[in-house]
Amino acid sequence: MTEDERIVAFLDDELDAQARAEFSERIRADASLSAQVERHRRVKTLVGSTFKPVAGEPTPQTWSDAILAVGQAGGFHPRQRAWAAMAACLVAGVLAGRLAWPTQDVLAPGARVGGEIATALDRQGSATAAPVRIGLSFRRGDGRYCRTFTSIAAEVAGLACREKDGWLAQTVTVWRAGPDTSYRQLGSSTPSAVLASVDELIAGAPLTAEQEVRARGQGWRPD
Amino acid sequence: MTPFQRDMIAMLPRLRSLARALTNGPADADDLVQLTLERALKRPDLWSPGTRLDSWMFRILRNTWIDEIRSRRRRHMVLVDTDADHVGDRGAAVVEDRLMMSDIARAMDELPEDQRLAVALVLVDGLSYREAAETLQVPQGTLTSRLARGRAALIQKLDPELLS
Repeated sequence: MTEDERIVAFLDDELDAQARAEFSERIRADASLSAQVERHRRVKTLVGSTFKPVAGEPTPQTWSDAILAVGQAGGFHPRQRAWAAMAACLVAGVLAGRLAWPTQDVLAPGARVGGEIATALDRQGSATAAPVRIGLSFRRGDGRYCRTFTSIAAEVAGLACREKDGWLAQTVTVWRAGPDTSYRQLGSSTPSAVLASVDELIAGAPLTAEQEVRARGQGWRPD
Repeated sequence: MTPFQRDMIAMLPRLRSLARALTNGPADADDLVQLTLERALKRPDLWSPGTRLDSWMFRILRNTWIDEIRSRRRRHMVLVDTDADHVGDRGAAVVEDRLMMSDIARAMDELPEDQRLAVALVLVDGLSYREAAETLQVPQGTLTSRLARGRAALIQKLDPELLS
């Protein structure tokens, strides 16, 4: 046991009576040990006082609704597969709303897009099979080129526009291609948040394959 | 309401405070709880009656959290250049997010995942070492070591003023 392990076990009341008595004795005799114990005691208090009160806040109604909805599927028989499948449908219905866990980790509008995705935006044609899939390309009102992209491996979808110094994010969201999402059924792999952003920016029609090749040849610079 | 439902609803506040200690903000924490709930309710047959429901839920929460951290890393890898010149914009957003966090939340956020989990289970949820070790499915010595290293690291990261 390291000294820190002994200290935390002491503070958490995880030492047996004898070890506890011996350790208390050492603390009394050793000022630097005693100071470290006090720092650990303070950390314990701080962590507790920061996060424990969260448990006192009322939780969202949708959470308990989802739990109760499961019961309406015919009672709880955890070993029955059919029941579990029914529950899954209900849960999906009640908890529907967010497609995935937050978008805040994904690029903010205006952030520079780099890595594999920037390479794909530069070089790849639309609707080609590749780790990063480019959906469509179009021009904005100011003539600049924009392209949508998705990456199943990275669970991300977005729209970026080519500015002077590279591809800048317009909308980049977390995106997971579920086994039965409507995106695939529609033959499109672009989520609605990204499509909305396209609608907002597009001037005219999406580029044809020929226009795309020409734009790529010019490094995606507006004329 | 079945006993399963009652116990599950009763656990929600605990799941939420645990999630708050693991993630870096209330919105992330609630999304984590929601995804955890979704996973648990989709496959309740994976829980064995007679075993602890809280340990089962905590494990799902841990797995959901770890999966999310990994997919964030993957997204980061494909979206952002690794050379320092180009990370500026995202860097600024991270700094801004972190400014909104309390000192203790920021220090927690810097801990390795296994240490953060150990600290959260024991200091936030109040599990005993044995219970926390069982939840994480690691030997108790491993749990104690992660817990002590995590808490020693918090001392290093925190302003000495806060600790006096």
